[in-house]
Amino acid sequence: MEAANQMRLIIPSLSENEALARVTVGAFAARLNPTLEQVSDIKTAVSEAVTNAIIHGYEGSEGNITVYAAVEGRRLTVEVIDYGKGIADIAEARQPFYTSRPDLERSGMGFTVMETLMDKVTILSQKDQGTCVRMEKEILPPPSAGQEG
Amino acid sequence: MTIEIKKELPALQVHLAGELDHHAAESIREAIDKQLMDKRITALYVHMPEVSFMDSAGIGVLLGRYKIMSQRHGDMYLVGVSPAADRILRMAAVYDRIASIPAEQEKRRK
Ligand SMILES: Nc1ncnc2c1ncn2[C@@H]1O[C@H](COP(=O)(O)OP(=O)(O)O)[C@@H](O)[C@H]1O
Ligand SMILES: [Mg+2]
Repeated sequence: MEAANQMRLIIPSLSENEALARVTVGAFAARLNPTLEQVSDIKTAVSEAVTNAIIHGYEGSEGNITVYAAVEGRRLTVEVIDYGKGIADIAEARQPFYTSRPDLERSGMGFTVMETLMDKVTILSQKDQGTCVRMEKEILPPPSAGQEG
Repeated sequence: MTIEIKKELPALQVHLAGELDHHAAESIREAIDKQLMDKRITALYVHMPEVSFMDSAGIGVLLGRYKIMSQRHGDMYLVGVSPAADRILRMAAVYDRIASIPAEQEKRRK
C-alpha cells in the first residue's frame, strides 16, 4: 500500500479560483485510480463547497480559503475552510432547496449535491469564526477491475 | 465557458460549451437576460451537448431563466444535455419543470 499523502491549497475568495480548486483536488485524487465519474463527483463536490465559501462565507468580500485533501488507503478526505461569517443553523442549511440567498438565484442544492456525491459530509461552523466542510469518499475500484478482457 | 446566442424570433437559441459553475454563471445570466429584454422572444432553447462540467450554480441560472420565460407565458427547452449536466439536473429534479429534447441530428456546418 502507498504511503498516506496530503495537500493544502490556500486561495483568495475569487470565483475564478473555483475551477483551480476542483481541478487540483481532482488531480490529487488521481493516485487512487478513480473512474471518470468518480473524478467528476469529487470535482463537483469541491466546487460546491468553494463556491459556498465565496458567496456565503465571505459574501463576495475578500478572504482566504483553505482547501485541504488527504488520501489514506482508498479514502479521500477533503476539507474546504473559510474564516468568514459561519452558519447559524447547520440543520437548516443542509435542507434540500434551502438557501439564504434566493436574491442571487442560488438553488439551495449545494449541500444536497455534496451529500449525494460523497460518502460523508461533516459541517463544523461557528458564527463569525468560519466554516469547515469535511467530505469523505472511499474510491473503490469498479466491479470489473482486476479482470482481464 | 463559451456562450453563443442567436436570435431567431420568436426563439432565442443559446449554445453553452465548457464548465458551467458559479464563475461562469454570472456572465451567462447577463448575456441571456440582455437578449430577453426583447419581449417578442417566447421560446428559449439552451443547447448543452458541450457542457463538460456543471454544479448547482448552473441549476440556479437555468431555473432563473425558466422563471422569466414562465412570467411571459413562454417556453424553455434544454437541448442535447451532456451526461455531465444531466446528472446534476436529475439530482435537483429540474426536468420536472424544464423540458429537455434530444440534440438536433443535423451537424453544425463548419
Ligand atoms: N461557507 C459557508 N458560510 C456561511 N454560510 C454557508 C456556507 N455554506 C453554506 N452556507 C449556508 O447554507 C445555505 C445552503 O447552502 P447550499 O446548499 O450550498 O445552497 P446555496 O449555496 O444554493 O444557497 C446557504 O444558503 C448559506 O446560508
Ligand atoms: Mg451552495
